[in-house]
Amino acid sequence: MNTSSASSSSGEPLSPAVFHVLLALALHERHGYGIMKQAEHDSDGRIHLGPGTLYGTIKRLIAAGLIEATEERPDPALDDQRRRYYRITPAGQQQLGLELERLDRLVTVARQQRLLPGHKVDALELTNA
Amino acid sequence: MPSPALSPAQRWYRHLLYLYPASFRREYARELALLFDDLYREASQRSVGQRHLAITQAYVDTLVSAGREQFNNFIRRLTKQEPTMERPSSTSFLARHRLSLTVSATLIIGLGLASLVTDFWGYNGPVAYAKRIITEGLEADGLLPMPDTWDGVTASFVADYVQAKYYGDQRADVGYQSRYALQRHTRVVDGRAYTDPGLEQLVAWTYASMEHNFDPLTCSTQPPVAVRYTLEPVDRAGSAGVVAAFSYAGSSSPNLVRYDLRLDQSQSKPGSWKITQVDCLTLDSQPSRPYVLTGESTMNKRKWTERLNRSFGPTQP
Repeated sequence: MNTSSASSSSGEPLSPAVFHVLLALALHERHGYGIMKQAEHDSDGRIHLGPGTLYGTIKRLIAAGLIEATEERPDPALDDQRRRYYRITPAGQQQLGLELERLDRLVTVARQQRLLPGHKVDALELTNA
Repeated sequence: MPSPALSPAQRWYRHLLYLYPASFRREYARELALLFDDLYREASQRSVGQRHLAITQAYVDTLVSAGREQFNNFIRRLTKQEPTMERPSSTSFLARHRLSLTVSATLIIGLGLASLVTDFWGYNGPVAYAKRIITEGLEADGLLPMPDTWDGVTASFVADYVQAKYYGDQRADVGYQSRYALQRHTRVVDGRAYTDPGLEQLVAWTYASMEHNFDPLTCSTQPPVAVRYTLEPVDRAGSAGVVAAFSYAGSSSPNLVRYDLRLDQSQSKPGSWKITQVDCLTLDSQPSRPYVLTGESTMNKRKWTERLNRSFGPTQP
């Protein structure tokens, strides 16, 4: 499969699992448990990827060319020889960037309309918008 | 995969991994097990309830994802396509396989129809064959075409007999067929009803076959049957029926009126007779007038014996 099968390339948002796996690998190579913990951290504990869901997503992302398994080992102090590490590919970076832009536009629109929490919104402003 | 050092929860999880497709298991089973070990170790530091919750979540997640991988694997084998992150579409699957599905449906329908046709002709084939060869024989004798002849009725009659003989039973509708033919082909001339003697003879043979094991195909009976033929005026169609009956018995001639039955001595045995030839007297063959059969013949064992002795010399009774 090529990257054209990735959801965001067709204009649709990425699934939460795909998005958080790409986001977890955006800056560092990680193994499965590391990806899981980073996703929990990034989502403030709202996203919990089960083992099967995580590796099913990893498999599809590898097939889509968005991430890849790496032979390089990270810092030996942090390395676990038994585990396989993954890193994001340039195509994955592009997909993640597109998704972040999409989310950013949504947040911008929400902010302009003062829909974000912390903004006081009354019925009149919503009607004018 | 299970190890004695592992807890029961870890061993159960490793067993659950066999639910994944083999290709997925080869690629990720080891990492899944390591990941579960990490989760289990982490959960062991929490309360019992939280530990059980984490393990249960991992089990459920494994069951769901294994089912999804199996489904994706199944679809991938069907479509021979690489896995995608998109949800499989049943519509596109049908569209991709419309040719094979159409061929399969056509084959199923075709085999059903073929079995019906085969069953029908397997049963009725002998009847159709008998009708055809009799019709061809009548055509060869110059009896066809002619208006309102007995040919079809005779053919059906003989075909019924052949079928009964072929299937080793006496069909109940043979007699009905004969009575129907008699009724249909009884003619009224000058206020008097005339019946084709040829068909009468066929009917008589049929009844005789029921009572005396008479075989119209070989004209043999056991015991001999005394049949009295009263020849009455008939038209051309009626005479054709006579000829058809006699041709079916073994000999025919369209211009004979009086008939003689010859016996084959070599085929005879005590109480049994085999008719091998039928001769008829001359018939007035003016096509513009009804044919008139003249004469009267009474056949019984005594007469046949006398004729047999005269023709072939004394024979054993």
